[in-house]
This record gives sequence, structure tokens and C-alpha cells, in this order.
Amino acid sequence: MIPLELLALLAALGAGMFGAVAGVGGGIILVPLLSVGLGVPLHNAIAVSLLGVIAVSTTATANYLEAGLVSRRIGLTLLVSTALGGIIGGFVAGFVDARLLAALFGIVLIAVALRMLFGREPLEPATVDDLGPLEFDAIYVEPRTGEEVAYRVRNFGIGSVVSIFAGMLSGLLGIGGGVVNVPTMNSLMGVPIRVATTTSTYMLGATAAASAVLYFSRGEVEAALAGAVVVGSVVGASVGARLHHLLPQRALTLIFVGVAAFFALQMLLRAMGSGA
Amino acid sequence: MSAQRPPVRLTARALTLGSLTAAALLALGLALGVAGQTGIASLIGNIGVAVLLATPVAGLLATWSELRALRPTHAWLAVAVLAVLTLATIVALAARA
Repeated sequence: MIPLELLALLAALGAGMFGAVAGVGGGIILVPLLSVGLGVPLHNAIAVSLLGVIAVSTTATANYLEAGLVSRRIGLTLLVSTALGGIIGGFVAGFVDARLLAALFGIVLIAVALRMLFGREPLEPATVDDLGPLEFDAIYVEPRTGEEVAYRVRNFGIGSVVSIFAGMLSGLLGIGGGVVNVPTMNSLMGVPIRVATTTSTYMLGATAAASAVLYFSRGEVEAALAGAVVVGSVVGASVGARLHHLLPQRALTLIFVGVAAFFALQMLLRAMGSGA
Repeated sequence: MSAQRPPVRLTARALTLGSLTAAALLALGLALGVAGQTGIASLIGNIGVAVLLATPVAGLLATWSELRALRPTHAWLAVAVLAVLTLATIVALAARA
């Protein structure tokens, strides 16, 4: 195997594992590794990275669904908002200063990360008998302890509106949705971080596929590189999904906060004109 | 809140089958490319990409099938997601044409 594909496979393996654990898909790591680290042209790096995100999403979601950790009801509802936001973003792209938007998003993301790091655990009433009538309330089995955990979803309307903005940001800034999905569900809506990360992973596959079709239709997917990235992502996501079950919720929060901080830095650098 | 959980197996199997088939095809294409069979390698690789792109769609359809009995509203959300994403793709393709 030629070195570039081997290196891409290893990069995708690490990104896939990390992306499955944090609920962000892995593109945030893979795109800079491929473009800056391995010299792949940026548009090709983004194209194969989107395929890697689809592979991570589909592989890890199958595992998370079997474990009862995905809220498809929340995921599907937010996906409609996110996709609508993507369409709106496409129409307003010409009227928005992307650098100002990147700066604002970077600052907001730092604030959200700090809230997740130092704020109280957003989990609300937590006995199975105490569940309210809202359809989005749910129960999952905590994989580390085997205990049933009930959670109550709050601020669903606000969360849906935020998801529209997430979709817009995704189109305007070229970012993946996971970095917005996870804090929206966890910090704003009270979904436990374990379910927020798995539900985000579930959501990413469909949105990444919609974007990847555009790159594929323009012939920007290099098949050999895609092969290496997808194989690496599938293996990495399989490992990451198993690791996700073993990690305590606090560790998942810390990992996500690290991702958010890295991402915020990228956005602020972009706003100052020195980022990719 | 309904205590009965909708099944997940069909969606999980659709996603697993899709991702593994796509990975196998792309790996085969990669191997053939390394062996110098670039024409067939590219064809198989492109089929692998197409399978991967179709996998989330298959997952959403499987979700619709699994949810429609117990949670019909949410089942139709899966169809709505497919419709909106299809619309988004068409709009984006048209805008860039």
C-alpha cells in the first residue's frame, strides 16, 4: 500500500474512534490531518472526511441503538430543524460576514464549553416513576452500572430553534453539526451527555450524506483515499463505540469540552484570517 | 409515556450491512488500485461510495418502518428528514450549477 493511503487510514482510525466517543463524527480532526498533515487538497480532504463521518455514524449508531442509548425521537426532530437551517443558510450566505460569524460562534462555544465543564449536571428528575407526559422524556440503561436512568427533556422548542441556527452555521462555516448538537441537547435540553453524544452520532450520517453527494457529483471524491478513510473510520468507530460504554459521563463531558475548545480556537483563528 | 420500546434491530442491521459492504468494496478498490488495475478499481470504489451514501437513507427508511406502529408521528419525521435533506441537496446542486 502506498504511504499516503496508509497514513490516511491510520488518521481515520484515530478520528473515527474519537468521533464516535465525542459524538462529533471525526471530521474536525480528519480534515486538518489530511489537508495540513498529509498535503491532500482541502476540497478532497473535506470530501473524504464527510465519507468518514458517514462511516463513523452508521457503524457506531448500530452499536448505540442495540444498547438503547439513542433517542431517535429527539434526533429526528432536531434533524428536520437542522436540515431546514441548512437550506436557509444557503440562501443567506451572500449576506453574512463569515469571519464575524466564526468569531461569534467561537466565543459562544467557549461559553458553552465552560458551562458544561463547571455547570451542574443537567439531568432532571430521575426516577422511572417520576417521568412526565412529554414524549421526549426517556429511560436508558447506563452501560457502566446497568441501572435505569430516566431523564426529562426541557426547552425543546428553544433547542429546535437553536438547531435551525446550527444548520445555518453548518452551511455558512462548513462545520459539522456534532459540535452544536451535543451541547444543545446536553446543556440546553437536559439530555444526559451519554445520550446526547450517541444521538448526535445518529444525526450526523444523514446530514453528512447530503453534503457528500455534492462533492461526489463534482468528482471530488478520490476513490483510493476514500477507501482508506472509510475502512479506518469503520474500525475506529467500532472501537470508539465500545470505549463509549466504558467511559464515565464526566469523561465524556471532558472529551467533548476538549473538542469544543479546539474547535473554538479554529473558529477564532479563522476570524482573524489565519485559520483554514 | 409508553413503556414499550420500538424495535431497533432493522435499523441497526441496515446501518451495519451498509457500512461494512461499502468498506469492503472500497477496500477491494484500494487493493486493485495498488495492484495496477486502476479502471476496475475506480468503478468498484465509486460503487462503494454510492453504497455508503445510501446507507443513512436506508437507516431512515428502516427507522420509519420500526416506529410507524408505536410512534407514527416520529416515524413520519424520518420521512420528513429524508424529504428536507433531498430538497437541501437539490437546492445546493442547483445553486452551484
